[in-house]
Amino acid sequence: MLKAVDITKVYPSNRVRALEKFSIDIKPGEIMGLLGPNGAGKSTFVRIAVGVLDRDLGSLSVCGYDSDSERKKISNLVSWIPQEGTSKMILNRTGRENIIYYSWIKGLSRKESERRIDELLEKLNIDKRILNKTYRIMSGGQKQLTNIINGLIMDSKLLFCDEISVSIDPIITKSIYDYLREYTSDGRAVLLTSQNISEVENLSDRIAIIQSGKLVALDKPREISKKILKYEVIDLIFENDVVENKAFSSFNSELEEQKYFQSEELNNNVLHIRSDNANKLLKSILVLLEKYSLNPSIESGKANLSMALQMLKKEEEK
Amino acid sequence: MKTFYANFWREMKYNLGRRGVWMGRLVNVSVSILTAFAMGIIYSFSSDAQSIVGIANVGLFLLTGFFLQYLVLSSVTIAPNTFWSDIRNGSFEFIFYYEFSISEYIFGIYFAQFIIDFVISLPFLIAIIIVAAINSIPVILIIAFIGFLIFSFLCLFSITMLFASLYVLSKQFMGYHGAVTYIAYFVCGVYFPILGYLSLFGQTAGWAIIGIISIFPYTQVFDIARYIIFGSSYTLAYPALWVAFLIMISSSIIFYFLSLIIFRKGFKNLRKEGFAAYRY
Repeated sequence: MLKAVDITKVYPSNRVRALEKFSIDIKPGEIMGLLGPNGAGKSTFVRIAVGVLDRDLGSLSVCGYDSDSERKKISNLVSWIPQEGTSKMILNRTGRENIIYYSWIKGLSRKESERRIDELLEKLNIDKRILNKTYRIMSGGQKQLTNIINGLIMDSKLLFCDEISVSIDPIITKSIYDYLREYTSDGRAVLLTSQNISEVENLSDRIAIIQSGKLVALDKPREISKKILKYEVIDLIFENDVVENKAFSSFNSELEEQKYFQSEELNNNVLHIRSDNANKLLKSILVLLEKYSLNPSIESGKANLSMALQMLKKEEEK
Repeated sequence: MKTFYANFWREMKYNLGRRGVWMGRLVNVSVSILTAFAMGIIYSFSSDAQSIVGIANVGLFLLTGFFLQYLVLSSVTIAPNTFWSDIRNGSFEFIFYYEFSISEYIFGIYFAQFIIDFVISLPFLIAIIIVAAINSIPVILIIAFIGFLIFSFLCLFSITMLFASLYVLSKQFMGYHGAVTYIAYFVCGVYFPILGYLSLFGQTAGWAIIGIISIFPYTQVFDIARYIIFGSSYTLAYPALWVAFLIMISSSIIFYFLSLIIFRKGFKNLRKEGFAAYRY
């Protein structure tokens, strides 16, 4: 359905390298999750795949058509739900007027658009009145719901969803995900980007992880979860400034030699310690804290996506 | 034609239901009348200007200028501005990956704005007919004048496209557009015949102005419209009406195709930079 090979993109205005030899393929009937932290290059890839942004290098085919020579054919086969806030619909028109307008240009009659809008509102459990509001005065969630209906109305072969669940309540999010499962049952495919692993792992058939424009991992959700969720973080929160503290320096040097220790970062008197086995490392930390008479508050938990990706990258480099 | 219909519907639906928009347009009309009136006073007292005999003729001269300016040229300004705000907000991005015609896109907005302006301008059209009747101007000329309005509306679409394409090519053009438009109104004889004042600019600058305004369709629109009413032109003083028509049609065709070339380049930049680079 989509085959991207070695896609590279550098934005000319700020020389930011958004994608670096990024490759991915999406099969018919598949929901592909594209996971990555803020600024990883997810939206850039989606924009390139949709056709609103040019790539610098690499090859891309969508639904069997080459994205350079057969762009027009592709345009009728894909739909796109952009991230809320990045692309706004026409501000002084209602949500319904906007959707009718865009689907008209895409070839759907007004009558058919009205029918499809009502059908989608019912299926996704969305209040009809939302679309009667002017786009400018809608809340972030309402704007996103309007974007979603606009993206789903064409029933395209390939649907790109860019962080669609942001600012939407969990009940509607669930209806949307149920709808996406139904959507792919007849061979259509979905690319779903997100920063949240739990969101994509239940829905996706495969997950690709992107960081700093590079593909870090591509696997089934269970395998990806194993890789990501194994990383844990222990935070030591100090009350006073510890940078000049000799006891802290000695504690720190001994900490780095401990088994299960991965990396650390001191930020505003909070020492974030990354580990692949927090329970066992915690025992050693408690011994060291007692040895150097340090008494911080301690918190531990799973690493967030950005931290986990850093650790995964380091591990793969090793 | 789907892009044209969608854009025409979008503009009409929005404007028809909002009283504020109609009031705003009426204010624009009033401001234009005052401007035309002020320019008319300067014209009446100028000994260099070509004379138009009789107060009713001066009134007719100004009314035709004002009427054309309001009816035809406001759409030329509004359509590119609407297009620019579509790009700036990212609204255009929703269809940018789709198969659409940029000419239809702009024309849809342009035509809707023309219809709205035409409805608002009807009282002034009636005023022109009354003033013309007082001056014993044949009714056929008034009909010709209205026919010419529609013709000039089609020709000036090329300028609309050119402005819109320049918006895509350069973000800075938005800032210059207002100034460009008003200078163009001024030198193309919207308010008074510029030929009478060329000596103020010196010989070289004077010829340069004539050269530029000769290829600009605004000049022909105003000259031909007044030719229809008065039987002679006032800005360029062509030997025959067909010369003005020929220049008007040729320059419109050239500007239209030039705008398509600029659009192609602008869209290439837009695809390279991304829409985010076009936001404030």
